[in-house]
Amino acid sequence: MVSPVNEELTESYLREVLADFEVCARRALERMLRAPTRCPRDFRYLAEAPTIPLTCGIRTGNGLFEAALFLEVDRRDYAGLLPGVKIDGEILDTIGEIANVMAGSFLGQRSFKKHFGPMLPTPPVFSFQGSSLGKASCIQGVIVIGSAKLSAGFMVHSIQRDELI
Amino acid sequence: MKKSVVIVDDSKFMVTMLQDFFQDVMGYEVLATGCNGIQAVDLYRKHKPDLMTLDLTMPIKDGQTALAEILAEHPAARIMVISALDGSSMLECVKIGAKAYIEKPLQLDDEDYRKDFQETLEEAFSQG
Repeated sequence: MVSPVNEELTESYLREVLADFEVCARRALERMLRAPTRCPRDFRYLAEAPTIPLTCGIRTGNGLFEAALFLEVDRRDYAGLLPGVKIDGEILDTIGEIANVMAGSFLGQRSFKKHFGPMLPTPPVFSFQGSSLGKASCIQGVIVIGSAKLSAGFMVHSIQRDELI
Repeated sequence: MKKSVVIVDDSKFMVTMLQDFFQDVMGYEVLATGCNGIQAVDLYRKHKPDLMTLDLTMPIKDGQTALAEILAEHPAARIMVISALDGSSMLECVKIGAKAYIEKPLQLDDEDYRKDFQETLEEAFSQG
């Protein structure tokens, strides 16, 4: 059973699942696109989730946390991500499915469930307006696959009691 | 006579991959495809396929709700859940009556994986 937590604990929990997040994100990409990945630098913790020009987001949460997995790809990298696919809609659909697999895998990790409790992902949503979860903190990293660069992250904030009333 | 399948997934990428696999590798007839739980229930009712593949995380109506509704109406329905969710979701679907559960991502161009997938399908059919 997960108890109510403050932001300090949220940070500690996020740092503990950081490595698992990187593994899940890279594995989803490698298995779906059948290509190796590399990370130019380590995945990192950010005290405040950036407002990002979100390409694809998967919202999730439970009674204690509100969270979202995001996957951002610059439009100029679409061709490098899926060579031969020229229709933006098809590329976004594939990015959505990759995010779905990342989320399913990450939320199913024992380390994740131990700290944050069970969460179910929603279907992917796409936005180019910029998005964040307000006071959320975040783990994030850059993954290179083929000639494309993606930013994968997971932002979360604990829901305070007064927000639940 | 060819076996028939209806494929339901909200990702066009997945639908295309499964459609190609069932048609070209397995020799199935793909009767229809859908992208949410409401369509899953309607398409099962309309086609009564030998097999339905069903995603869980979908808009409008999720796959688990659709699975329960289909099985309430057609207890012998053969439904294979294909989802990125694992653990408790898998157990719940099997409890409800899914004949098989396959975790995404699929790797259907890998020969060993394909054999495992085919065995899982055979098991689903051997359950009646």
